[in-house]
Amino acid sequence: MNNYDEILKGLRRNDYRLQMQFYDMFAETTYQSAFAILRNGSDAEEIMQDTMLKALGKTSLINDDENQMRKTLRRIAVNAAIDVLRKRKSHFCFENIENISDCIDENDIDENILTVENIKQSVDSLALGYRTILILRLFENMNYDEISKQLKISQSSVRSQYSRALIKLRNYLKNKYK
Amino acid sequence: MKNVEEKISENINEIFGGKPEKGHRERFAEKLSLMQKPKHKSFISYLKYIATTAAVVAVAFFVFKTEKTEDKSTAFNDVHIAEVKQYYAMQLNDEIDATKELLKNIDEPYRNELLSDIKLMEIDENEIPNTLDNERKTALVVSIYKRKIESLHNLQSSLLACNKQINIK
Repeated sequence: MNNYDEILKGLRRNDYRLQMQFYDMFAETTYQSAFAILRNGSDAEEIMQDTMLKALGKTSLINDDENQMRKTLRRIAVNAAIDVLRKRKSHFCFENIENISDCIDENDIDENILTVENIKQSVDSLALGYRTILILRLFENMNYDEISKQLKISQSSVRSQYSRALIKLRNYLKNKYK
Repeated sequence: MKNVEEKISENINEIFGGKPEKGHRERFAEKLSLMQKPKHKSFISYLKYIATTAAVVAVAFFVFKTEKTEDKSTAFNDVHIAEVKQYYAMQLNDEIDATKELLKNIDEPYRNELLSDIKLMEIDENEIPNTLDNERKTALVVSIYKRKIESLHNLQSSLLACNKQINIK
């Protein structure tokens, strides 16, 4: 029996020690999902811990497969983080934008500009909607259909906003670090 | 555009990820223990807290009342005390309303017990002794109201935690 099986058995009998092991196993990845969207440590921690408590309090959410469990927890955290964004910004909504008007420069950016730190800053400079789509696509590995359901906008809008987010990133990097 | 996308994918965790702040495990352990505690036990502790606070207020009142003051000045301003009282009474009422709102989801027997305790807080039974000077009278009024408000704040935080757990379930 592997460690995860043992933890699962412990969860069924409400074993505190094993519940904490469950937390240790999934806390970081769940936190990252919330943090990527909210960009705030304490909010992300609250969502991560609420997600854990939700899973521990509802046995139907517990999955026998470790990877599936991780995915489920991340998805719950993402949903909660997006809800937080919606609640905080009453005007925040994901628009159906299908035309790309930004100028596309076909030349690649100089490798020296493409540092992690520069990209991080450029991502933070993006509007909330673009950033969220970028994160769901690249960090959460969601496909366009999943993102469209998550944000309640059309798939074509997700596609065009994703491309637009990349163009904006690229333009930002080029202009700021040229 | 591809090189931007590729670069992000290669360094995905560094760009988007983060690590929980120090102490997160302890904070979670606390929340988990709270979730596992039987509900009625928490309510007994609320009631105990209210009783203790009420006792502290009573003692403070007694100490003030028996304290002899040498300053017999009668120049204190009744209007000023009444204004202070009114100001704190308004705050207390707001806190009582907020607490009652939070009690809506709580099981009836506990809710009723807490409501009767809250009712006691609403009664302004404390008579300010005339032997005190103006400053002490004001301090006494403020102290009584502040303690009541503080008790309500503590009760509200516990109720918020309880309501959160009810929502999670």
